[in-house]
Amino acid sequence: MKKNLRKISQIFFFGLILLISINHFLIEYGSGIPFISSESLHAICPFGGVVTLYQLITVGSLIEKIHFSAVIILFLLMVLSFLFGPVFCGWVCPFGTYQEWINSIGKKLFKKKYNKILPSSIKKYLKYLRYLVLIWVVYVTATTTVLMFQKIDPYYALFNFYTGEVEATALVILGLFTGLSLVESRPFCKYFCPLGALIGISNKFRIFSIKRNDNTCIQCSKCDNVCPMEIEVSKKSKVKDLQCISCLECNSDNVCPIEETVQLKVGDFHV
Amino acid sequence: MSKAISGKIIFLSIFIILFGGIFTSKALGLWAEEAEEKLVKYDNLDAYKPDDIRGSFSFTEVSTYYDIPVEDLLKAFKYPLDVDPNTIFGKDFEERFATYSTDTQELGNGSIKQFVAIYHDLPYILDETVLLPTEALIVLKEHRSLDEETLNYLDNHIVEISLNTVEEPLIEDESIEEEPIIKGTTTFTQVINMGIEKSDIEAIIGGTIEKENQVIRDYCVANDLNFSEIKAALETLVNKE
Repeated sequence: MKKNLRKISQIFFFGLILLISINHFLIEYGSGIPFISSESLHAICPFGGVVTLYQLITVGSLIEKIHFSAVIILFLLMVLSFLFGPVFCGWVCPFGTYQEWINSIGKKLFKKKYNKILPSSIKKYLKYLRYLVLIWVVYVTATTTVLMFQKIDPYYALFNFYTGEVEATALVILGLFTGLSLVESRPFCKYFCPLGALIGISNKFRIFSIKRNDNTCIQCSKCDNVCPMEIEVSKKSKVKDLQCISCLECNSDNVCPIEETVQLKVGDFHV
Repeated sequence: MSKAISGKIIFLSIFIILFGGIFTSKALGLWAEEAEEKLVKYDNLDAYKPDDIRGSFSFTEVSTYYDIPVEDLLKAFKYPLDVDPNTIFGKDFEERFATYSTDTQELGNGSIKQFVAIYHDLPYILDETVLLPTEALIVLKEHRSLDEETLNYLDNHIVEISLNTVEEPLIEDESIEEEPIIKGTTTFTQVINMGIEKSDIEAIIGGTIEKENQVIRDYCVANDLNFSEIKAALETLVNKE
């Protein structure tokens, strides 16, 4: 049960977002699901809060389709990230969950080739692409006041593909990242997600960090192999990598075989 | 040794912070999910800015927040008066009026913003990229007297909508939905090219055609003629050919 808490959280939020998006669609046709919110996904997507911040500060209004609730969710997410790092990515984000499900199929299909098809020499540069995406999306949204990311957003496409509101480009990108997820763990998170890029910065100053006890570590590399973001935890005493999603898979509660060796904690291990 | 945080604490923290934060913001009135909470008023007017009309607003919401009778909205955008205004959204306009859109102009949610602005004479830039149905012009003229600039703008931004106002038969009986021969953008040249004599057209319009490349609807507006009647007479003539 303890080890499954992350999966329970992921299934809960995936199901919740799925029900909300279906309910939003049904409400427009005069029906709906009782006790489930009917807000649009734009109302509860924290990235909506990011792209509207410029207009909110300069003009005092929100860009089209974005609700103030998105700004509140962004704030709550920042609080969580300040405490524990990007737990939103590892425990909540439904698109991250979707990729992990596809990943599990890919692992069975490609076995040892899984995560090895893209050369690491390319990956180390590719992981900065999401920062370019973040800057580009925020700049274009601020200058045009149009929610342009929706046109390429695979998360929106995943939950709305049946509504007729999804741009073909978003569906193509959804298909692309679904396919990539068969050979690469969380490819959208690692290389493209602008929200992940932003909250990943919290890894540099979060209060509780993932730490490895060098004195008890047996260098089995299980933590490296299990990390969906391909971080070499066994080579760090404190994980400050911008890509960490705080999934805690590497922890001694999960894959690490030695007690109290890899932990999320404040302060250092005693010698 | 300092205390480690387990997955259980992360799990509980996520739920407490996210849902606790949402409930608190709702209690404080910060959680904006109602349309009205997204609207901004003019500094010197007791009216909301049409800019904030979202594609997700229903006609009921537009009517409520912008003080326009639902009947006027339905008439202006050529909907049957007995349709439920809660089911009409600006975001659906692009698809509904797709045949009338060009590369530079479209009949979409922007058309509602423009209509609302003109309806109440609100400070709003006349948007060159939007189109309005002919019926919108009629409603606007009935509601208030329009200045010359607005009339000139509307002359160049209205289109004759030939959609059947009852939508269902369009799907059930394809024979009803024929492409109109004369559209809001058809010129005299195009009708002449259909094999109609210039003199026959002049007989219908009761005047002389000075510019053959003039849009027929524009001619009708300039000469105070009923475009629908002229259109019907010309189509009869074309069909005889």
